Amino acid sequence: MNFRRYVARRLLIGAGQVLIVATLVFLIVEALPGDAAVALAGDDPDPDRIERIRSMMGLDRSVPERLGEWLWGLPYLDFGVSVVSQRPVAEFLAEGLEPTLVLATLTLLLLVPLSLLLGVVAATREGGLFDRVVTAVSVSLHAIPEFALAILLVALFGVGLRWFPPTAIGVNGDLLSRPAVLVMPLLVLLARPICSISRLVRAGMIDALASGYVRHMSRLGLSTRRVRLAHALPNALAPAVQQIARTVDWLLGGVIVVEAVFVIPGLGTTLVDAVAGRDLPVIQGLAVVFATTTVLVNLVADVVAFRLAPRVGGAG
Amino acid sequence: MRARDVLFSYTRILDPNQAFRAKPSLAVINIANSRAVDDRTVEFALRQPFGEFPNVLAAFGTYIIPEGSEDFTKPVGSGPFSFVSFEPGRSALFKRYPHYWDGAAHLDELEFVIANEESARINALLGGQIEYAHDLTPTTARSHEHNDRLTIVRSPNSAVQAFAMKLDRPPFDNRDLREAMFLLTDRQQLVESVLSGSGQIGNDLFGKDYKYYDDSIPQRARDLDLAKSLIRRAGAEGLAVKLDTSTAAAGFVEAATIFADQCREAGLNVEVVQGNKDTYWSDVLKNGSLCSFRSGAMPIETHITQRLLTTSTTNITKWARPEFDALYTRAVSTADESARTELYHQMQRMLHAEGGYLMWGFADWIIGTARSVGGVTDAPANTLDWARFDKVWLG
Repeated sequence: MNFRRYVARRLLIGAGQVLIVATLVFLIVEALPGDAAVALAGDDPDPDRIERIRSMMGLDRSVPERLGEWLWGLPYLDFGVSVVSQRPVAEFLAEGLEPTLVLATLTLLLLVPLSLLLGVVAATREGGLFDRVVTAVSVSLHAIPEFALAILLVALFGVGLRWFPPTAIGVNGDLLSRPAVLVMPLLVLLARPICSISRLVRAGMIDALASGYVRHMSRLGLSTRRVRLAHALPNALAPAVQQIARTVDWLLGGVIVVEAVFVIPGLGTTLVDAVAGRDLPVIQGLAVVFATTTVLVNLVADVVAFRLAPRVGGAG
Repeated sequence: MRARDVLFSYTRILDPNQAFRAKPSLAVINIANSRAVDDRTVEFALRQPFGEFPNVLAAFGTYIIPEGSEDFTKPVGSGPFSFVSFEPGRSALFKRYPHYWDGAAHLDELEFVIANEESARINALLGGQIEYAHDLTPTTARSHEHNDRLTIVRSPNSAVQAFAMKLDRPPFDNRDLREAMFLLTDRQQLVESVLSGSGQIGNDLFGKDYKYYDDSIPQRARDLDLAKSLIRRAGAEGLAVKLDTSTAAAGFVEAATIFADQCREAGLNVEVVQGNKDTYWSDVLKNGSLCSFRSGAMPIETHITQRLLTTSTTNITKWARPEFDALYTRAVSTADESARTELYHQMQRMLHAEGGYLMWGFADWIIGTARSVGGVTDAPANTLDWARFDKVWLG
């Protein structure tokens, strides 16, 4: 199939998927008990007051009416305003996206070279001491959930030794202005992906090195280095690319646990607050962002994988 | 602050088209007939004689704003600090107002930073990022009691912990059963376990040590035999009851679980049902028959107006007694303080004998401060002398 047509078709399907996800999220949140008026009233649930808040928020209008209005704004990138604070939803998204993007980008910049390096070196020394150490460490590190690692690091390096600030409290989203606050969150975000991706690279590399065409190239007299990096590695990377895509998607969703422990006001925190307040327009906006990133990241991954090793690309 | 600002602010809160929380509190004011005598004096016309008027002016949400204010992006108040910046969900920054009427604050700047997780607040304090950590749990307080990097401050009597029984429906429309519930409760065990000892036991009445609190009423103690016989008399042996709770407040689920065990010892089959925390208060106001309850500090009069009159908007126990309403009306219109106190005592005796609130304890409000912070008092949370950052200094 023509490559461009393939990409165009995927984008079109993706747009449909985003729309379906957003509509489903709207209906699911609508089905949650209570609405924004009830959540706002909190421990003072005076029924008359709740009714008045509800009509001020426009929540007394029907579900199709509100959903329709929201869908109508979508092509114009109009996400509406928060029912709780009346601030534009786009502002929430922009504010939350900044810290999430900073963390995701930095994680990725460290993750890809490190896990490739570890995977390739381990594969070329299969069964050796380095390989066994990397395997043991990555298997055990992969078993530790983010929150446990985060709390451990904070207790040790934040509170005990005071090497790094234990939280990003008061930094207000501009994480790059105080790089020290990034160290521990990055370690936590890197820990598990680095294990899984380096394992995949290692396995793919071992397979590739053992395959007929690589041995054939060695027989042709190409240098070991050239065989490994130019011929074996691209084939070994295809499964890792899919895993990296999943990691990027996970990072762009705002890793809620990491944000909560380190007080990072990213998209995860925005989502938790919006759900607690039943702030439907904000939840909707986030659903669109999350669905869009998932669609795009997977598309990019498929394209990259296809280019690296056409047989697994899925475009044919 | 001028008299005109006060009138403007109250008119705004009382606007029938608005939904301000303080509206029911200010409803006693006839704002149309109230006037500014001069720049510093307001004369209020009330709809009825009302002895507790000062409480009304101090009610939650009765903020005074400058006359004509509509834009609150740069709010102007009359407190010891003035506004610098605000980022929703993140932080609010204030600076010292040097001309504050009650003496300028010691601090130059005051910044509130948001950290929803308690562990993040305590870590930020331990790591030296903040000097004051709000709202800590008894467990945290206990584990950091002897930490030399921080001071734990307990404000006793800050929040009442209770279970609310609804009187307008079975099974707690039965007075014997309510009394059995009061008697089967092991309050000490609840205080020891749920509050980790950071609190004191309650006597099913709101506002211990507050003005008008009747401390002549004997403290209830556990009497399992009497409770069992009352349950028999009510024909409620083995009765299955749902106890609604949620994580809307710290300790709710723990207290409900322990209390359910205590009920089982007396032969009641109480099942704990955990509901949605975000809509909990609205749900339990309408539904169920037994639920977890807590309340922060407020004058006893306010507690009664909001929760115990036939007309109360958040009457969770559905206590509706014309004779009680009449006592209240008489109390607030009685000028003589000792006569008024006696009326409040009468109301409390009624509530103690057959009310729907099983108030088992009063929890401390717990905060942590850095060692460098001085001047923090232990006044109950939500009272005038609490969280007075204008009186605090860094040394």
